[in-house]
Amino acid sequence: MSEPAPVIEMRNVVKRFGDFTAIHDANIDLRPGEIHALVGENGAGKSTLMNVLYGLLPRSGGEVLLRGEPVDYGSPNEAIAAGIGMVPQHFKLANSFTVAENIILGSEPTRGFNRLDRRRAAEETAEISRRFGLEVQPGDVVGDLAVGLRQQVEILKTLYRKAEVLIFDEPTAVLTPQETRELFNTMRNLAAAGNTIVFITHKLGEVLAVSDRISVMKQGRIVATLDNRDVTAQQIAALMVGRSVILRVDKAPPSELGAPLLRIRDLCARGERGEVAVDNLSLDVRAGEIVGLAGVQGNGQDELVECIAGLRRRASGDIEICGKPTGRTPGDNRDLGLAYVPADRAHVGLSLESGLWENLSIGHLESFRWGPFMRTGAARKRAGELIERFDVRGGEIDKFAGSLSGGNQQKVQIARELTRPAPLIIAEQPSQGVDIGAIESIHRILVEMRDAGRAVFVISADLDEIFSISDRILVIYRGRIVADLAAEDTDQEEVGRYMGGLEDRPRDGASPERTAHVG
Amino acid sequence: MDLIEIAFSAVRVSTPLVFAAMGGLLSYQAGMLNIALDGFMIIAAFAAIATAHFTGSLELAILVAVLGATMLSALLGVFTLKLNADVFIAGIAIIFMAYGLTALLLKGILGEDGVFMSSAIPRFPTLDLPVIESIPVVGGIVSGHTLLVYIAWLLVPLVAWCLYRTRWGLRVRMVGEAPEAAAAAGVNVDSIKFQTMLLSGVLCGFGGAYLSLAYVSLFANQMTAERGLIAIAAIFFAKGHPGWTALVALLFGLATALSVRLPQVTGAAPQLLQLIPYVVTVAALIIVGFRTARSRSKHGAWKFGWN
Repeated sequence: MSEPAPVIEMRNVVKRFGDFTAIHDANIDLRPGEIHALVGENGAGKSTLMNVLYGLLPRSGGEVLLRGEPVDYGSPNEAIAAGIGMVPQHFKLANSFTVAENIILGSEPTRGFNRLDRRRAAEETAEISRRFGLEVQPGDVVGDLAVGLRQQVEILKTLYRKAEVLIFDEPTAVLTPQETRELFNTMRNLAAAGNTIVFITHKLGEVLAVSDRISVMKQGRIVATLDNRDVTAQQIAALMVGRSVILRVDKAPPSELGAPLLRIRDLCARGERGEVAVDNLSLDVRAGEIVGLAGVQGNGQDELVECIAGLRRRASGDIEICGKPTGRTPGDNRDLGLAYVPADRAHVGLSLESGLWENLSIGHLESFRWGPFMRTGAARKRAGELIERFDVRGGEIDKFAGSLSGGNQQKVQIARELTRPAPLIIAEQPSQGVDIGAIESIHRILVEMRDAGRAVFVISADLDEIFSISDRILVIYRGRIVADLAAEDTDQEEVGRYMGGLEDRPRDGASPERTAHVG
Repeated sequence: MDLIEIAFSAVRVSTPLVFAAMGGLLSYQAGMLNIALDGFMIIAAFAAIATAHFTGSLELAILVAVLGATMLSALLGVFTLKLNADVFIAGIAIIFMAYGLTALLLKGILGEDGVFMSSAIPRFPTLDLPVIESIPVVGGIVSGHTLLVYIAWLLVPLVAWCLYRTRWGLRVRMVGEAPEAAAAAGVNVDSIKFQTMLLSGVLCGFGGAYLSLAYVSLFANQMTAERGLIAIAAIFFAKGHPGWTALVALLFGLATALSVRLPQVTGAAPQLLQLIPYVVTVAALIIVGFRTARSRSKHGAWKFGWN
């Protein structure tokens, strides 16, 4: 098989941020018509490398060749003009504008006097959409679209600008398995039409499913580029981490279940815009079990968790923590026995501008109280012990929390919350932005907590995570629990169907039009 | 009391508000809270009166006024977009600077403290619109204003057209709502913001010139009397939509016109009635506050001060 000439070659590319070298001598070539996966842990430099290619970051050394010609993009505009497009992980869309307006922005078709040619915009958008088998309508308002469709808008944006090299940055993080499969079909269609697809991810199953070649990054270096033949997830994981890792947590089956420590009955809550976010939801989490709540982001998980934590007023319904009705403030709920590990580490979980010992002591202040004063020495001593015990790397008690990596910040949150005498643990996206090695230890801690007889409620958008630790899986869709499954009796396919609302079983009283389309 | 007369004077009084509000809403749509409208207007008012005094030309006076206000807006643009100053704080600084500078120049160039009048300044001619002037009621309200009044009100559909029908308008609104999306699509965000900032200077320039040359024929220190802030209230009330913003400005104009006329009719203390426009402003802002609070207060999450 003769190898086609690469579209893009990156040779010995170096990227430094001050003294820190993020990319060391990276070499990669991208061929026309291939799906090239770029895998690595968080912070391995995948996104940085692609941002260099896309002109978002100037490189510190090395060269980039486009069809054999050296190029140097000072801005994404130049990269776009050269046919490179980026489908970002966090969509860059204006929600109150239509699909067509979002797509044409920056290269708008116009008539005289710079008037927008809305009809041409709609026609061209619809045409590209049809050509690659996408489903978005030009006139739809982006804010009303499901996540999968918003991603299609991002893809159309690059195609409208005639991109031939498309970089997908963690594209499956927010999708259901069904949406993921559709995305893979789209990626294959694009590649078959001669485009080059770069697929940045850390989900190894997906890498094996869709890519032609795989480049593995570790600590700013490309450690291997493999053809996707006879490779296993274990091999790639070992290359990524530099040692072999266990992708699934070993855990004993749950022992005797205790009393329900979290009990929710007919909870209703509204979202920011007054819409019904949690809709007559009931659930129990019992002592000694890990319950995973699966669902596509934006189906009411955030509001549900905020209600439990006391951060959001509920519209109606009851929540009991450890058998007692919840109070008015977050503090009341914590006193009842709640430990909360929020997804938003930077704002809700930690104060990034404060030292580790301060972050570790807040919530435990009673134990360091001395009249109106605080026994700082004792608090600092305890912080040091926790850092040791929870293996917070790079942790000195006076360092700012913001100076730690995502995984270590997560450990700080967990150390603080789980050392409270709280029988109910709510962990929201516990492995988001956390590298593989740390995920393993975080999951292990949660399992230990279960074995110690606590109730653990994990909310995650990541099905791998849900499956690797849950004993029981609940699926939330449009604010309601649509499935309650024992983990060993189900698989990702089934859960995915529930997540997409495809097997929606409305309970009595639920209005039929709610189930009309996937949202 | 003649209702037509009050309506006529409401149109006249709200004209500087419309100029300032149209300028301010452009930068508002581009995502900047430009509170320096007052500063732009006071500079323009002074530049207009001084130029008219020395040259006797109204056209030249307007030109210099617009130039002066635009230069000041460029300065604010440089502060906020190039030097990354907070637009709110820099805006306050610009207002103080404009008040101080005009007071200084009033003494230095025109040799007066507080107020300047001159017989050398020509009056603005009023225009009687053919056909329209003979329509009952409407003619009495609409016809017989100075040219600048018509420019102000014609600006409203023009600004709306630019914002909602042109490429530039789409970019402005996108920059305001989703600057990252705009930047990713290759739109130069800072450049768009700078353009709207300059345009708000241009429009406030007209507004200031109108204040000192047509509304009255004099310059007084701080004569803008917080019209820029009232314009901002109108923009917020109408969520930046040109038509509604102009309507709210007209409402403020009506309140002012009433506060001038009512004392003659009712005999109530004029000082009390002069509060009307400000009471209307506060009422409008309270409504805006309730409107935004309503959606979130009932069931919303606690806010801890981020975004």
